[in-house]
Amino acid sequence: MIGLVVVLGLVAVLFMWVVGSYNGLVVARNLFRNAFAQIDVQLKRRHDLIPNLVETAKGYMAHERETLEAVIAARNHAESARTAAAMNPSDADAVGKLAQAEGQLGGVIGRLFAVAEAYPDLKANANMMQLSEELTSTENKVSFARQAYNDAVTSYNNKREVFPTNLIAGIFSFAAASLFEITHEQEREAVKVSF
Amino acid sequence: MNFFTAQEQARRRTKWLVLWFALATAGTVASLYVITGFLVRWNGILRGVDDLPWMGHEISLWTAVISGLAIPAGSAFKLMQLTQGGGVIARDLGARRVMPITKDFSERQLLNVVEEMAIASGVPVPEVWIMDEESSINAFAAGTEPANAVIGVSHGCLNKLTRSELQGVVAHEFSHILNGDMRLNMRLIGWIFGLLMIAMAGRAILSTLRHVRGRSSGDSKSGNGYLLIIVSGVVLWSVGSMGVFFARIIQAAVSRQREYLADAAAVQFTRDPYGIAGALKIIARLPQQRVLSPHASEAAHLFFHGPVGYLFPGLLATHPPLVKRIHAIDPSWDGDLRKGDGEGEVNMRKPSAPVDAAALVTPFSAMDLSDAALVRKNMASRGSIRTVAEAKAVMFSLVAGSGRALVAKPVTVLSEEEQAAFDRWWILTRGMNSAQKIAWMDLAIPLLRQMTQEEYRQFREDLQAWTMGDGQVSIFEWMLHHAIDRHLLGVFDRADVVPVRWHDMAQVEHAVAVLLACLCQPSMQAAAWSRCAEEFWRRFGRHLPEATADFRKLQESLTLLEQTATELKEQILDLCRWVTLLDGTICNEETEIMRATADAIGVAVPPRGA
Repeated sequence: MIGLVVVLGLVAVLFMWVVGSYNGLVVARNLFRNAFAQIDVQLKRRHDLIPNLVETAKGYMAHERETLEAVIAARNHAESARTAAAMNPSDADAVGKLAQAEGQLGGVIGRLFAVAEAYPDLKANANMMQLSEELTSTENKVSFARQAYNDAVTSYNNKREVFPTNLIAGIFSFAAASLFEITHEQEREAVKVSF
Repeated sequence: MNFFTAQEQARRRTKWLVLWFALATAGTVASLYVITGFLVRWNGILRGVDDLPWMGHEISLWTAVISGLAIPAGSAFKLMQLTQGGGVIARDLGARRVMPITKDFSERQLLNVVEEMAIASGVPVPEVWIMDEESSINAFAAGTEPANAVIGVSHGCLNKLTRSELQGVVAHEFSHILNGDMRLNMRLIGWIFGLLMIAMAGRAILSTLRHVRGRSSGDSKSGNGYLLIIVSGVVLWSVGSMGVFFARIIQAAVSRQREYLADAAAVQFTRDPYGIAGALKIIARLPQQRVLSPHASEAAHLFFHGPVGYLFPGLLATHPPLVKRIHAIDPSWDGDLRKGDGEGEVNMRKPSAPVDAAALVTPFSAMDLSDAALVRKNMASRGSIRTVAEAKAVMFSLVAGSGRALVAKPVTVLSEEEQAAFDRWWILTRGMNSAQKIAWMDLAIPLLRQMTQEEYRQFREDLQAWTMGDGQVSIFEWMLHHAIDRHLLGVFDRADVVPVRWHDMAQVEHAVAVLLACLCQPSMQAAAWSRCAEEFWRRFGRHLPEATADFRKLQESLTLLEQTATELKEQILDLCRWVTLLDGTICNEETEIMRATADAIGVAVPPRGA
């Protein structure tokens, strides 16, 4: 009799623990999904500014067609990645791809500005200055919005990975979420020392 | 420090200040009483009567009563003026509003920096003002609450600081908004004004007298009377000044502490200690200049850094010394101001030609670079809101798309620009979830502040018509109206200061129960309510009263909850958050109710506060 009570008690405790952990995971997942909306708004703005940037630059650097085309291609790629990620922010793959696409886009834009150094007229162009300011600001906004998102993702991933909650995560297939980290290609190759 | 704690601390400090200011006022009144007594006796001696008592004359009694009434009345008058929002102060300081459609490059940049910091700190985007006359580097934040806050910067900030330094300065001001320092500062200005008025009255007497005296010189009969008036002018002026002096000491002591907090918060928001440290170093390097505006002295504690050269720098300085502030942010600094960061000289930015904003939105015609579809898409959804007309259209489209029956046709008359914007946003926002819609709403609201009073009334009427377009008010629409009330009422109508009435959960538990019931309803879980009650017991040690989800009652409850203490509001909001997450999904209704609640009870929820 006592044995039965003990077993039933253990089962009840186990059940409550399963429910609790499951709900905890779901809660954490929803928090980061919501935080993604803020990033999304700013990325959209960034993508909408780029065609104007290319349009302005085109008039001055006709010889740099390749660079400009690369910018547009990267922009279109990033925009479709954004649309995919916005549909389902908990899809780590989609968010990872978006971050990667944003990184590439940042890289080619950086290249565009580097090339623009050789065109003093373009550099002094008021629209160009304005656009570069808008892009800088949008990038800052993305990075501030990203902090909130990454905090939420980290707390979700931590929950998902620690023992024993990871058992629950495994059973109910809670996939790992992806941090939104943008690494610019150009930043990586920037370290060059010459004497 | 948690910003709720900081706000609560500011509020608690306010209570002590009331006491100190009451003492300062009482001291001023008492000194006036005593000095008038002396004057009466002295006047008597001059006339040959020398047995008058020192005190208890009718005239000294009247002086005491009048000044005792005038000081609080003056304070009340000034405070009433100030509740109209930070714009009043900014105008007093000779600042000019920066419009979001500005074409000037550095103004544009300033607005961008402000928007960035709004995202980083979770505060709604405030109005931005520029003090054109000030070539020194300074900035201020004013207003009674985040919704009517303004941020002002001097012209020097725009041409002497780099972008990241400007960001540091703006972030510092955002901390004053977020931590409740502004409200404290507004009160200080109001109270000091009452005492200042006495001093000003004395000065006014003296200066009028100089004119009168000039005209009727040589009239020896009234010489005695003149002397008396001169003396009473001097007395009012000096006693008033003494009162102001003590009030300033109190003001300065409070202000100095809040500055360190704001500097620390600036680093937290920007995640870059060099921005604000750089700005402080440049200020320290520049020759000191006082702010020119005549109103600057009563608003000294509002500024980013205080003037130097007071008589008692330790007592009266509203800001800690620059060197100390820099050390607090950057402990590794060697104290050498001459070494600039990178450049030896102050970094002067070139003035730039105004930009034609229209040119920025040139239709994308790079047909050879991309396909036509992209062009159309880009035209259709430029991801920014820049004009009032656009902001209005965004609001209308959000409302139109939120009801049960979609209202695709305009309900009210739209201008051409509004119609074009509406068509774009209608498509863009239709498929969005609530979190996304709210993000756009937050981008549109700051622009709506530019409307004139007339436009605002019309806008509210139109919005009402749009809301009722489908014959009913959805939760989203209800939330949107709350958000607008929160962020625009303070601008267009005088928002009343809400007193704190409830400090204990027992006093507001019925209202909380209604709120929780409404939050439980969308998920339609019978178990939700009982779990809610359990959690309520666990957190507050009380039984949750029965309540039904009734939106009419919810409205009343939120009005009640607005009057609770900040810390209790935080606990209530946290419980609500817990409830929305109970069933594992945050549905649109829950997002909307949460947002409406935060707006209705007046709590700004910072993105990382959770």
